Amino acid sequence: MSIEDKNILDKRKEEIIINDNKSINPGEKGFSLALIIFGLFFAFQSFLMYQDKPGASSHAAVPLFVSIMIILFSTLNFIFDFKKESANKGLDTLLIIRNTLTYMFNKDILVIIGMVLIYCIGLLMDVGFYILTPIFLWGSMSYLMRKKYLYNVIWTGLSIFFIYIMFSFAFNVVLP
Amino acid sequence: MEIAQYLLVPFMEPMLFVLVMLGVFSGIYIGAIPGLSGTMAVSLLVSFTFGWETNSALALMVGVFVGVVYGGSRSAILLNIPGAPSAVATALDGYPMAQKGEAGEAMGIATTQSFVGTVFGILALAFFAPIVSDLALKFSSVDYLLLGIMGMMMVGSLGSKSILRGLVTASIGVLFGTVGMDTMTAVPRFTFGLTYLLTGVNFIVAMIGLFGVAEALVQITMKDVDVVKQQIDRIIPSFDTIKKHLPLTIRSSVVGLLVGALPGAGGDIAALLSYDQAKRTVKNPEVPFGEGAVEGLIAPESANNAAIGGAFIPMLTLGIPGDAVTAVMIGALTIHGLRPGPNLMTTTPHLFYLILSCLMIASIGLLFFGLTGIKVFTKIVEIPKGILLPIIIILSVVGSYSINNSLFDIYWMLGFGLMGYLFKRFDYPVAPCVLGIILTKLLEENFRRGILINKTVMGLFLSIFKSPITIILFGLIVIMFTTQTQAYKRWKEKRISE
Repeated sequence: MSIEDKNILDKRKEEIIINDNKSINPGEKGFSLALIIFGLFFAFQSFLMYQDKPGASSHAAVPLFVSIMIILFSTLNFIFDFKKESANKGLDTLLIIRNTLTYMFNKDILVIIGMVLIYCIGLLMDVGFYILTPIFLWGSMSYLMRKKYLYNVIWTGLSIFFIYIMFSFAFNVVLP
Repeated sequence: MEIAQYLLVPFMEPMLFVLVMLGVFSGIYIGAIPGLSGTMAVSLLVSFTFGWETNSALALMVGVFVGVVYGGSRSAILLNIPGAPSAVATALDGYPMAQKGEAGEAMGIATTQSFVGTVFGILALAFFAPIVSDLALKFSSVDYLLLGIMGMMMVGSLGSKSILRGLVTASIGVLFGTVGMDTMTAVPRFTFGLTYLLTGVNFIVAMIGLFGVAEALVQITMKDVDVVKQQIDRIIPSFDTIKKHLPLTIRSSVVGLLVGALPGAGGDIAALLSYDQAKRTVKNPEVPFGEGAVEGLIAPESANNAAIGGAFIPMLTLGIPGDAVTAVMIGALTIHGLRPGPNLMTTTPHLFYLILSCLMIASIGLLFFGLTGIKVFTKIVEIPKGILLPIIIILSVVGSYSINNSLFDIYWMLGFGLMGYLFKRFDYPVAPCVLGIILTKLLEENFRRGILINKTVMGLFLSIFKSPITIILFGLIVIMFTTQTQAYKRWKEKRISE
């Protein structure tokens, strides 16, 4: 990002803070568009079901109705958002994409989502709840707290103890 | 005289008293943990109390029921994860209060209001059980449909930037609510060949993801913000505060009682509806709704606890469960050789009055345990975010897995969490999505039933004008809709400025 681009972006952000109701976040128009596509997909699926048994009492009537509602409301939202100023205004396409992705998933979010995914894959592969959970807890705490490793070991231990006592011991809940 | 004797039984037998108190205490902590539901707790109790004497088993179950409904507010206020579905509306203003350092006050209000709501429900159960149950039985499919529509009208109250955004997420919620095997024709919908999806989207899984994980992810983007020090010097709300909000408490309790008495509509719908009525009727709240309004806490907490008394009305007088917990309790009574229904009050009147006294003791226990544990609970919010957020994620994982022992539930929960995170990032409210999922069954089944009875959509519409209850409900919907329109708001502003 060039200094000029950065200045434009900072200026936009300032404007957004000052006039919040008339401005939108980076990627907000794109999100409305994604919701329209989501609605279209489910409207198509519902229509296919509706053809099997047409009528207001059909099992596809409500899904078809709500998917059309999603398309309608998202389109209206998109139109209203279009008039508003975006933090991305004045930037080139590549920068818009970068800016939007950074706003949606900053580094911390990506790291934590990555850790959660690894944790889930581990559960799926039967690694074991009592092995994976302390690793996830300690790893994510250490990342978010930036060091304090020993302190995080204590918190990890306490959390695991609490989960064991409440779920396994007291309520016989089967853990993943 | 006989009634007084029956009512005094739990007070005369110390063991029963202790069991109710024990039930309330454990119920509060079970309710506060996401994934441990009241239904699950009472079901577990049935499995190890079936050999007990009926009175003891009932005392423990009633205590747990009252404790769980209240306990859900704890995690809703402190972590924005409603511990129970009936605490969804509590999170809307309770969590913002905790973020401002008012967690102690929020929990104090939740406790006192839950107490008032429970007592209101008990009194109604004692005096109006036959009347309320008669009224609840007169509800037709069209009335239930209108009740569902009234619930959906809440979208305007739950919206953020605009009502349109609330409508988008509510529609997505309804769409998710239709996933799975259709309950009327058994045709699979949006399952894409996955067997897991045949049973549909579990709304508790969705709730944990949309509220818990989504909030945890949003908080990660703000992790460097200093932890708010909680004020715990003011826990018990002043008498003036209680007196000032008494009309709202009564209104909300009435809503809670009536909705609770409707079979299939429990504390969750009662709390959401009363939150909506509070938002519409409270003219000038000190803090806007959704930003930590005391009224936004009073309404759902009074209503969901009043719904307990309401849920017992059809159970004890007609043998119809008011909600999932009372359904399990009917099973428990059957195991003990009793048959809940119209004859219960004539053949075993002592049981009716035993439940009443146990509920009364439970409400006292709720007030006692609720107000004494607050200082310890508030410390949870003061834990550094870097420590708390991973714990929230793990609790959400364990909570969603414990519902069906299914790894798919974890993936769905995380999927909902990610979706909720994106909604929040782009200023779309998540609460209407949960509302949509919760209300789909009520809306869809009664709409289709209404169509089958009345043949056409027009026939269904015209059937509204055939019953006084339906006309009243329809009138309420018209008022609710009108007051949400821009034209009405402009007219109101003009009138005020004049």
